[in-house]
Amino acid sequence: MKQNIFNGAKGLLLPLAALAVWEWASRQGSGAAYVFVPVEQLAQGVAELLRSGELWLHLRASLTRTLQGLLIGGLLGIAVGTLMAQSRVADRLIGPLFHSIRQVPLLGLVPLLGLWVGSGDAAKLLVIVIAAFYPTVLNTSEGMRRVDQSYREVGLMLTLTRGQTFRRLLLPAALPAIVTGVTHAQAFGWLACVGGELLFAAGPGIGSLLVNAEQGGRMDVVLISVLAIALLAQTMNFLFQRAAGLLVRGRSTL
Amino acid sequence: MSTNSVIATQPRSPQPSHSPSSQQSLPLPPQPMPPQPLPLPQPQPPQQQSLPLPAPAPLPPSPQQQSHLPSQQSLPLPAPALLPPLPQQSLQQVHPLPLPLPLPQHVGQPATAPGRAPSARAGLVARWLAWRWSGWTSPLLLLALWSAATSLGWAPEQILVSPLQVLHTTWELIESGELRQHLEISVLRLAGGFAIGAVAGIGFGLLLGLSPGLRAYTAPTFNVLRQLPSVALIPLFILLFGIGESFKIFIVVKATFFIVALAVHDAVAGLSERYIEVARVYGFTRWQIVRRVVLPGIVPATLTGVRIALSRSWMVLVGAELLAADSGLGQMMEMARQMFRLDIVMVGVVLTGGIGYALDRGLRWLEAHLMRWQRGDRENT
Repeated sequence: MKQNIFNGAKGLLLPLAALAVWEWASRQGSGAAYVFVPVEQLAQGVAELLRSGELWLHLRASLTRTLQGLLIGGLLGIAVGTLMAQSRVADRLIGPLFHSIRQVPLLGLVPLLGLWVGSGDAAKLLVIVIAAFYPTVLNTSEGMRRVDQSYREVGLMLTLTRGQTFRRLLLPAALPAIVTGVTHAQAFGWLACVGGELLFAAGPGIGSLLVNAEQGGRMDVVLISVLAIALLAQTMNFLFQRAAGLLVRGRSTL
Repeated sequence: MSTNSVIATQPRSPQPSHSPSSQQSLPLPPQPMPPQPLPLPQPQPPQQQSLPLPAPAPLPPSPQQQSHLPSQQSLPLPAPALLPPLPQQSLQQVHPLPLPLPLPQHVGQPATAPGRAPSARAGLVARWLAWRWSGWTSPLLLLALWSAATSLGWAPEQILVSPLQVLHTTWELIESGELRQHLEISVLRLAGGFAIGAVAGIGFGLLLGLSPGLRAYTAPTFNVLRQLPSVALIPLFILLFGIGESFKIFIVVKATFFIVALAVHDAVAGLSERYIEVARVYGFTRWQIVRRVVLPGIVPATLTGVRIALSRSWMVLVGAELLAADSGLGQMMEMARQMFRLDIVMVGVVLTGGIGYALDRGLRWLEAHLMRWQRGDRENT
């Protein structure tokens, strides 16, 4: 026990030292204070953002956007992944396009999307949809391909229709893989949301707040936004993994 | 109806394998047949009729089977070609053994299931699937569609430029040396930041894995900083370092360092304690343990971490260049976007994708190359 407290104190040493250096740097003239905002000003910035509800407004916009994109991209991904796993023709047709487009780093696609759909909400949503789409497709098709052959044979014996085969047989059997895909999609989708908002900076959104604060030289707002983004990423990850655990409880992963 | 019902009967024949007492059986070629002459064209019609009209059939389907009837029509089986002739005699034989089903052959390819003219279409599809270049079908189709769309003027030029125009622009960019310049600076930034980040990450990960003391001091800070997404840090780094070169290098260093350090740390922590014990028994010094036990042991995980870090930092660098830069592939695309030069943007997209792919492929190759001994080892045992 004592050892634990001691170790915890050791872990705190570095952040405290960093804080001290930060505070010291902020007192080295006005030029430094521009970047190294004094700690009390940071606290004031947080209070102001929280009180005015501005932070909440931006966060809510980003969260809704991410969830929407996740829903669309995830459903599309499951559909396309199923198609690719079930039909060799579809796999041969979609596969090459999918795998080559997937090589482009997501943020590299942003200028193209900007030209095609403008830089409004549609473009930001599309970035998230694409981000959610990739991992869902990959994991769904992989999971469905691994469904045991004997299950399929049983399905044939019971003369299930395609819809029944999908709902009763493939979907439950591939569920762990799909859930893994959606969990990845969520993590990637949140980052894509922030990235998209950084690059299409108009309108509400935590990424837009971040980039506007950077251009306005508001280090406090930048720091708070970064922390909020990281915190939300962790929270969402935790929640999704919890939900995933509940969903595939008692199932062996394939 | 006629073909469909034949299709539908197919999966039902194995049904009796659930109940050994049942009289049905699948056609088994090696069965000792009674020497009666088999009227080959005949046996199928009675079978077909037995489905809709259960009464006169030798084996009336159970009510449960009947309930599936409507659904059977859509069952995706390319049957007639695969249906072996069903001699009626074989149906009467008792065959209690689990039957070698002919099903698995066509289970995997339901989508090739033909509707009307099965054999011809199925043959064509199968031949297309077996064709070496069939993977190029959809990209070429897309290219054709793209060319058609631009030459017929289906979309305004801001939204779609012709493939020829893109090629032409590529050539122009190469000629003027503009492309090379952007490419060079981007790759240099990536290489510099990545080298620093990877070396520092490997070093720090090793220390973190080997020294409990250092871990106690730095692990909490490391774990918190690790959670900060690199993309979100771009504006912060711009404020801290300005929009010069250093900010882009640092963002790549950040993206690389944490992934690599974590991978190395996990690899060291995952090393079997026994290796180290054996080394101690041999009287290895601490340095020898690190060099001859730990370092070789963490190579696979480190390489995987490095590969992931490389593709991640490439994405972050492109993002950073899009946001704030005076040169580089990302800046080229962003400028082109602001000037509505779709062709240049497309060149940039293809290039970033190509570079990302090449880097990933290269490291995969390196991984396989360095891991040869392991594969050989596995083959020997």
